[in-house]
Amino acid sequence: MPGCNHMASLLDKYVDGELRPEERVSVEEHVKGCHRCHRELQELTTLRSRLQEAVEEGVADAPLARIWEGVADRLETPTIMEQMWWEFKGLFSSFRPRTALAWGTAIVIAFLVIFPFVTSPPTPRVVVESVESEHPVMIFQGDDEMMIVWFFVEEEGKEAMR
Amino acid sequence: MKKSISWVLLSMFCMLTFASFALGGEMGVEIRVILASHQAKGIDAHLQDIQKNLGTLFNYSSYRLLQERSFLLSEGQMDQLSLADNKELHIQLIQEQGGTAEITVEILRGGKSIFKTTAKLKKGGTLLIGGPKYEDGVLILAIAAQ
Repeated sequence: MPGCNHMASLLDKYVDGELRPEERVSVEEHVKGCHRCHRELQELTTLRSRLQEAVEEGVADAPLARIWEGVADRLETPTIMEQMWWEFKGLFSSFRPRTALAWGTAIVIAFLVIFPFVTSPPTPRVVVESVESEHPVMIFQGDDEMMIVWFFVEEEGKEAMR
Repeated sequence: MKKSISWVLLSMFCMLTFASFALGGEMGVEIRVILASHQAKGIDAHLQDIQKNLGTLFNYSSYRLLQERSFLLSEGQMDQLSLADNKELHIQLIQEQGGTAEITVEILRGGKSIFKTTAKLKKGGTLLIGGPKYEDGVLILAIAAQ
């Protein structure tokens, strides 16, 4: 059977209802046979019930508006920076690391694919790679969008060129 | 549920991005046959988009659209267009990748090749092939990737 010293530490918890079932049984068994612990338990129970009554009465009678004013007076008014930080933090209240990582990856891939096209220097839209003809041929660039291949079938082709 | 949908959408986005660059495909090609001559003045209304280039590059006074045709070519596919004076134009898409088409253009007269060229065209680019005599002027072929 546990000693009174050990019981003393359990009585508070017993009154607060914080003991496991087997500990409660142990305490109840002990107080049945121990006059001192029994009296201490009664005192603790009485004290607890009186405190509870006092608190309940106090809360019931207290003017809540005045209580809140007292609390509000002691609260510090948040600075603009603090307010902005709370607003910013609120934007990420539904932050999901995996979703964010997935979107981040998608954006990086899209960027890597698009970046070379955006930054590469303009290249001609037409490139002539080879020409085969039994006639004389002239190749010249119009602008970035045009390439001209002229083959001189007749002499009049030459006079056409500037 | 929302999480699954997000992952499916993300996967589809990645696959489509990859597929659009990895896979070849087909290319639209427009061919316009133009008669350039000194016999008249003016330029065909259908040639407005290349009017500036024609006027800068050549000194003909008249540009008339004789023929216009669009092809949708797949890789390896060849198509042909009959030209004046028993001439034929063969066009073949060798390959298409990332919006650039590699094409071969061949002009035949009586079944015999008189001209052949291979060129790479990006969308919006135009290859002009000129020289064959026709009537009182010359033919200019404007081949544009679309």
